[in-house]
Amino acid sequence: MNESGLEFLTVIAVRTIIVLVVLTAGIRISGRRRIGELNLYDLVLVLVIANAVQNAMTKSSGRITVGLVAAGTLLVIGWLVAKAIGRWPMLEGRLMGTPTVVVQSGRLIHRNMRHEGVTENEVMAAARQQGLARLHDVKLAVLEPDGFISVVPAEHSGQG
Amino acid sequence: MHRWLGEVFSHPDLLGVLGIMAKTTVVYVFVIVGLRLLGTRELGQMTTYDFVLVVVIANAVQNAMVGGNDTLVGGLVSAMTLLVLNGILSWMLDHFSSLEHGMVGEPVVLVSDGQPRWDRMKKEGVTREELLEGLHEHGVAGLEDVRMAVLEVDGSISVVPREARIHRARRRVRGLRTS
Repeated sequence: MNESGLEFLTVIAVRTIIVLVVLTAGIRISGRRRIGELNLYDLVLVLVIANAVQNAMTKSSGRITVGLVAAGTLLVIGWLVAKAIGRWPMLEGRLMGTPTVVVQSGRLIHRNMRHEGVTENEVMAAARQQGLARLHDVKLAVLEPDGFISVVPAEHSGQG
Repeated sequence: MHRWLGEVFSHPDLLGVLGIMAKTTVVYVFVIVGLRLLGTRELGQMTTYDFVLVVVIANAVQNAMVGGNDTLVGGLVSAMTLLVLNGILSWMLDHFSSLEHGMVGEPVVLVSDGQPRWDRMKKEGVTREELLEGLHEHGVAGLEDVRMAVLEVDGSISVVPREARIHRARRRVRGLRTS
């Protein structure tokens, strides 16, 4: 196929879309949404994955048109998804995930924690960030869709 | 049209797929172990140089994983292999606390009831200035007002004050969300 033709560029655009959709689905299924709690290993994972799929999108072509078409396709899809969520808010729960309760009335909800891959250490770290030392002082802790753990203190903690 | 579809949905043969999975696994294990042995583990303490290092490493291993294979399926197989490996690593970290201790570390109490633990701070490489900076960020003026200060595994310092609760937006890595 002629590497500078329009037809080749449509191949790049379609491959880019497929890569993005499959990757997003894969990441969603694997339950890794914890950007807010990103550690070094997560960062490495993201960067290495990005590189792993590079040639699948661009067919190893270093042509500037190919790079621009691939990047442009990704930007347009990102824009479309943001637009769609604005129009149909219930899409957000599907795409981004819904908030998950991990502590209720001072008790860890282990089933939800396991499902989302949150450890007790991470919950306690989030509580301490809010100035709470013990699980007993936590009324409610919620894993938000962006991966941040928000903490509501118990009233008896004398800090509310 | 048929040729166009062939260009889009190109794929390696079974041997090629297995090769990509094997090479991706070797590279991932090598990079994770290498980072743990040589590098920082706390993103919060990462310098620009650490960040550049990680980005460059990711680029350096690219061709080693997919071996110049530029098929659609080849890249996706490599990416899915990485996700599965990461899932296995997370599972192991959750189930073997000694491994979590070694790779992610444990939170370390730096100040307890106003008493600083200089020995621990020295061991963790936290200076007096960094500790005070952490207290000030939480609106706490001095050590005597601290019930507990903890060095978290991500390198940030969290502070439980003696008295009123301090509201504070936590410093964090911005998400990838658009909108």
